[in-house]
Amino acid sequence: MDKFVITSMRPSAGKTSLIIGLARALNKKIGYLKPFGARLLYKKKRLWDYDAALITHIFNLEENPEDMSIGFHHSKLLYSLDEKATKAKLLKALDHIGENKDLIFVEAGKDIFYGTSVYLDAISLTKIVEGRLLIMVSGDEDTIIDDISFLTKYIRMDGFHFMGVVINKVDKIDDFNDIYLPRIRQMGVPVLGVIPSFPELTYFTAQYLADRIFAKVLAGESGLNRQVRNIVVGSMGGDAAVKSPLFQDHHQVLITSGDRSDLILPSLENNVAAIILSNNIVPSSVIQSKAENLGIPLLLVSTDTHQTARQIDGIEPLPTKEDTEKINRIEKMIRDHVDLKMFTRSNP
Amino acid sequence: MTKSDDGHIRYLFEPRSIAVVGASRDRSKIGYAVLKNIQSGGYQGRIYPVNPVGGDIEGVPVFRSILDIEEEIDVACITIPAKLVFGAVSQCADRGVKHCIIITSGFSEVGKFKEEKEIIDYARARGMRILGPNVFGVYSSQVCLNATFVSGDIPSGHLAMITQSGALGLTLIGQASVENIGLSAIVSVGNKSDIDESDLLTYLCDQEPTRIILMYIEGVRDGEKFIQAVRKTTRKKPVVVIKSGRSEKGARAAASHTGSLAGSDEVFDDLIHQCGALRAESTKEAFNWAMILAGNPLPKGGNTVIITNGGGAGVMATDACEKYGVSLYDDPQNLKSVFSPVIPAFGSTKNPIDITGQAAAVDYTKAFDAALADSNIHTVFGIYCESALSPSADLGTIIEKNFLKYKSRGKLIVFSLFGGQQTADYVVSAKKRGVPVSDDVYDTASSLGAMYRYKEYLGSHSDSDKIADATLDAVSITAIVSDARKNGRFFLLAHEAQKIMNLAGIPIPRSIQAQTIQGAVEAAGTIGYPVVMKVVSKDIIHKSDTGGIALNLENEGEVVDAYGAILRSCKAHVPHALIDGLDISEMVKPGTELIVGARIDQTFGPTIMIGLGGIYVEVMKDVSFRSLPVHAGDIISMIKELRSYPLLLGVRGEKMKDVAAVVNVVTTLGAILRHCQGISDIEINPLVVYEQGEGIRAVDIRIILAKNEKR
Repeated sequence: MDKFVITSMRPSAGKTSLIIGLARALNKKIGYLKPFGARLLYKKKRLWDYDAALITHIFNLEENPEDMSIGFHHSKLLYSLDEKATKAKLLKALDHIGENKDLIFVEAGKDIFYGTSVYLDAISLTKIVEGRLLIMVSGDEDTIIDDISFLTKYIRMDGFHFMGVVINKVDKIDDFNDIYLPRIRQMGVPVLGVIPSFPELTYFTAQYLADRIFAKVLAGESGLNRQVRNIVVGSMGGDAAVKSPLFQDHHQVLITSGDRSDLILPSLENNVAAIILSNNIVPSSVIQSKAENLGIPLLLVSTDTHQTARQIDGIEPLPTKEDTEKINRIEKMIRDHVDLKMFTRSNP
Repeated sequence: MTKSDDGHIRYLFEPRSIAVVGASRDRSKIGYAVLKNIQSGGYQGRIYPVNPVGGDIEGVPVFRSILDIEEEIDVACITIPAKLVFGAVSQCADRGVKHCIIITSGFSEVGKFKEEKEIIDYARARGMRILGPNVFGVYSSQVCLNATFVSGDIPSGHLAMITQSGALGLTLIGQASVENIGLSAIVSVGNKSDIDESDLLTYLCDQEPTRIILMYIEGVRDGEKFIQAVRKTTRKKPVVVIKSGRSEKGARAAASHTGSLAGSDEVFDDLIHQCGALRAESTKEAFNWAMILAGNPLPKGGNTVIITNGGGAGVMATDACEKYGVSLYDDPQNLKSVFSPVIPAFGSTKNPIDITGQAAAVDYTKAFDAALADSNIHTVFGIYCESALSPSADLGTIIEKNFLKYKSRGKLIVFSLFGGQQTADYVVSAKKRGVPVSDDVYDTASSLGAMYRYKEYLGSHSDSDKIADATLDAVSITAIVSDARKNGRFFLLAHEAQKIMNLAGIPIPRSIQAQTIQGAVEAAGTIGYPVVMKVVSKDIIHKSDTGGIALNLENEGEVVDAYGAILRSCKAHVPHALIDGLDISEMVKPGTELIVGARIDQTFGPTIMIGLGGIYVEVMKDVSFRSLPVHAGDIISMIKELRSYPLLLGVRGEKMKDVAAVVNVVTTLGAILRHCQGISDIEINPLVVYEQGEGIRAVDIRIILAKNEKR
């Protein structure tokens, strides 16, 4: 059984998407572990990771997502487990998850260092499970080259199998391949794939947005599947708003307070994707009724406009189990840009 | 209002002298209409028309200024344009006029608040009271005073009306005239800049000709004063209220469920019932109630019998009685013994009593006489369906003769009549003679329901009722509040609220606060599993909304998992929240969950609330309010009003719950609000209620402090 440990130099590099794409492209019986859970879901005393739940659903895995993580917090892990116990628990989980599987993907913490103090960092995981480590690198070109340089210069790669890197979310792919890729190869780092950025993978639905910012849906529930691409903070006057091209985009989300009917009404007329109403200010029933008729979600939050905008800025556009289009796109992306042969058994 | 104010308001209705400022010869002017009405109404006091032009109007000398009048003036009516009103008011006030009725409009109702305030301030400083502006005047049968611009005569009688809408008031006068309902007084309060309904009630409560008071209001300015005035009045005579604004909605970011559930109309509805007033849905309903209450004795008991010659009408009447809470007498044996001798064998002696379509006037009388003679029957609801054997020509015998017989014996009988034009005409004419008839069983049942409610109120309240109160360590409680305020907080943390519960003697689950996982595990071990974990943060009020509560944790592993999950979730929901730790408390065993609250309502002052509790409290909205202070009986009636009251009685094999313990908690919360400074809202949700004798547990407590220290 092949075991691949996926980590990244920085958070949000696309590890889970890579795993989804690889699993679909390789078309084998897979298992999944995320020993140090991050995107915690807690319901009725059950604790599990969002990514574990997503992958369980996409690939119809028989195991429970709760069994795919050992812990979520440093404090709990420090309290409950020492190094030996952590290793034992990890191996037990691996045995359980790996039964009758062709390969296991082990997703490490948010970056290569995360979990070091509790023996769940990427390198420790690779050694314990005796797997192969793959590192994702993303960002602008300078960041990418810096991260890979740091990797080769300062991180000891002995004692475990290092597969190489996958470079993700590259904006100008041709320039990158011409200028930066040769330099990376000169550093002796195997590059298993260079994936361009796909803006459509950064989009999410109004429902996803509402869930992430804990918004209350006041109206327009039928439109929660509308796609969101851009966010506009409504701080201008109503006249300026009407003339602004920012208000013409159907994939826009407007953030404003509920008493700004001068902004809300033109936005509704321009068929925006959704409107976020800040400061818990509820608009008039006329506006709510109009939004309901148009199927444009009105999402109420208690935070102010600025804070809401910051929150949204921090949202990671994760795939959801309903996002079949996105998942198919990810699979194609991996097939087109990653060397899949490196993941088959004949290549150690 | 002070005692001197009590006597003072009397002069508004019983002035010995009245000035009309703006009296006019021009028949199109209000100044003419008011003066004419005063003169033609039969007023015997001194009348002083005032107009700078002078001369005389209809033979009465006109003064150029109020300052020219030497004698004492009790009331001045102002009918001049708005821009001249301040000048006239200041002259009246300087002259020592007691009351000024400003009929003129064009003040706060059109946004001119400053101008109105100027008038009030000037008058107040000189001890003069203002009615209005924007009123139609005052009518008072006590002194035959019609100081209004209403056209036509106002019939004298026993109904007093207070109205906030001048236009509606004029309509009500017209309607009263049509229905031949005489008025003892009618007054509009207009902009309520000074004198309001409460002040007027104070007079009408003791005014002898007034037997019933009807009020139309749109809003209440000083709720506490209003409640007290209504309460005092209903002990002596019925008060019927029509209040508009039921559908008022407003966006509200309330910190407590009590605050957000207290929509003003819901609170008003409950409080008005608490005071014994009767709230009508329409003017028609209000007049029906007024007629029946003013002209008939209250039933001596709760047993009503329907006597009808039409089975279908009888069934409808039964439905109507159920709708309006009129209890139908249900003793088949006694009913049989009373009615079988007087109705055909094929009739029915079950209530409704069906004397059949073959009944003639004599048969009605026999049945009515039988009911009159039986002391178990307190009220008769007679239904007449016109037929060949009971033609409309016999209505006088069937209806009026029997009505007078009942009246002489102090028993209540009411009627609904169905038939053709002559029957309809009879209904109109009989009503004018004070006979309680209608053409709709629902109207009749509604009136009966109002009578019964008023009777029940009088029976359940007396002047010697004890106010529900509790002995508290108010000093210690206030100290906790002060400390929180010194720390810049306007609500109490969990442990502070718990301390107050302990001081007040309200049982709460055992709890320990922890700041680490280790501490949480130790606390859980000390308390004993299962436990509940709740976040402690001054920035997080609604814990369940932010994932700040984990229930029923049965072992160390679950405690450890919940610890991290709660912190993570709270930080995600409220990123800026400062979290002081986690509260580990015993998991109380299940019971019936209620919400109990006490708060200072912006309009009505201190109020208490009780309702079905839990996280869906704002969805279910099964709540009841009362104004403080309350009597113990009021608290019981609040609980009984809840739709979910049967849960407390015990359903599906469950035993009755400890209602007495609930009453104690409500009493205690009310006492905390009344005696301890600085608290504006105190709420327990859920209050878990166990079986009788097993008490209650206050699981989650929220206490919000008043922004104004003086509260």
